[in-house]
Amino acid sequence: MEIKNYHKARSIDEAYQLLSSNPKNSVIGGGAWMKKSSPTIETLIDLKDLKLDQIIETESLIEIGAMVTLHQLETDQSIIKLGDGFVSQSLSEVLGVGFRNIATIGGSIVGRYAFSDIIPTLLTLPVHLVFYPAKEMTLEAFLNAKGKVDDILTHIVIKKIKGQGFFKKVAQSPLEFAILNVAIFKDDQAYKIAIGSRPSGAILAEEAMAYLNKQKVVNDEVVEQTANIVLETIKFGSNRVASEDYRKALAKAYVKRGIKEVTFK
Amino acid sequence: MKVAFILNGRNREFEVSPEEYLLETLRSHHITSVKNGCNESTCGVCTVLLDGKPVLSCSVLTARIEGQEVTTVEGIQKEVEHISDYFGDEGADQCGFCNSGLALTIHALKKEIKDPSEEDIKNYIVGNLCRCSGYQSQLKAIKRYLEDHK
Repeated sequence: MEIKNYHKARSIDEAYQLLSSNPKNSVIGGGAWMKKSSPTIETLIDLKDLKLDQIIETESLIEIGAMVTLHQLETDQSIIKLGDGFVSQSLSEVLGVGFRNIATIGGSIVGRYAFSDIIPTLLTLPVHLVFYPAKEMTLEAFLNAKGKVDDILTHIVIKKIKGQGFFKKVAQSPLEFAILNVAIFKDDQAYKIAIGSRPSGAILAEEAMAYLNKQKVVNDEVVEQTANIVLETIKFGSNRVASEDYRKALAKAYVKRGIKEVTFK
Repeated sequence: MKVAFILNGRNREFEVSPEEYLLETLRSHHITSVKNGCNESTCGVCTVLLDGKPVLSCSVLTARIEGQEVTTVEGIQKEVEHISDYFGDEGADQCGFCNSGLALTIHALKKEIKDPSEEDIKNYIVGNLCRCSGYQSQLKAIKRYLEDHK
């Protein structure tokens, strides 16, 4: 990695103009993975002084600045309350505190990391992203969009919603990437199921959710069938830490467990 | 570029390149209590306190910390000596390579969580790897230290 210049932006517009002026310029979030991912950077643009490190809770929303660290988010009362703590739990399973005091929520989302522990839980919630200069989109739409991010993520907005959440990270040790992540959220209306580290990036299990949300009663048979649909419709793969078959076995077990937990807890 | 920050209570200024990490800056200026282990954000031996919070210095660009406060074990020497006594009593010391980072993490834990449970302690120190002790004696030492210093 080579960084030729470092610039602390004085305004978000200045950061945007600088980012747009050269394709080799880059915005830094927490910088925790920068060593592993970045080639030569002409000018590294730091958003540190732009007051994007705040969490603002209103009656209906939680607005999170992109520079909020994962540990700051994990310990915030508004986040702890969401889904009975499942967002906070997923954050707490990202390496150690020393790492989570560096890594930011903005960097974690913009990186679209396939191994992310936080993206699956956020996918099950009503989350939209605010970019400068003028773009808003859902988290899901952002993850599905390909290519370089030209705008600057400034805020992550979560609509406050009552419900029960479940999160499971399966990894060989707490300091390793997940072999599989399962996040499930149930509110009054519906279930949402997200699978991450497949090893590809996290996605919603749309067909399984559609089947489950049509059912009048959730019993063992329905739970079994939902898990089967997850396996039939979501693509799993193999890598050096786990085979496709093992991931499928884990997904089946934890999808079933998660649905039961959010339904009957 | 020049970067000024407070190191263990003293104003210091360093000439660094934009891509230099805090770990390199500290070690190249003889602060060798900060160890270089994995150098990829995992093992915790390079932990320092940045404005009182534990961070991995191998992953913090020095250029970004202008005006902030960096604390290494030299900055909390008395407390580190106390922690070391508890480690010694429980036989938790072997090679000692992880001790500086762990001591700083324990210091931060004590400030951040009042009356932590065993689970809280385990979760807080999970990012500080020890290659020789097996953690049980360390955990006992930390629990006793925190209990005695409420």
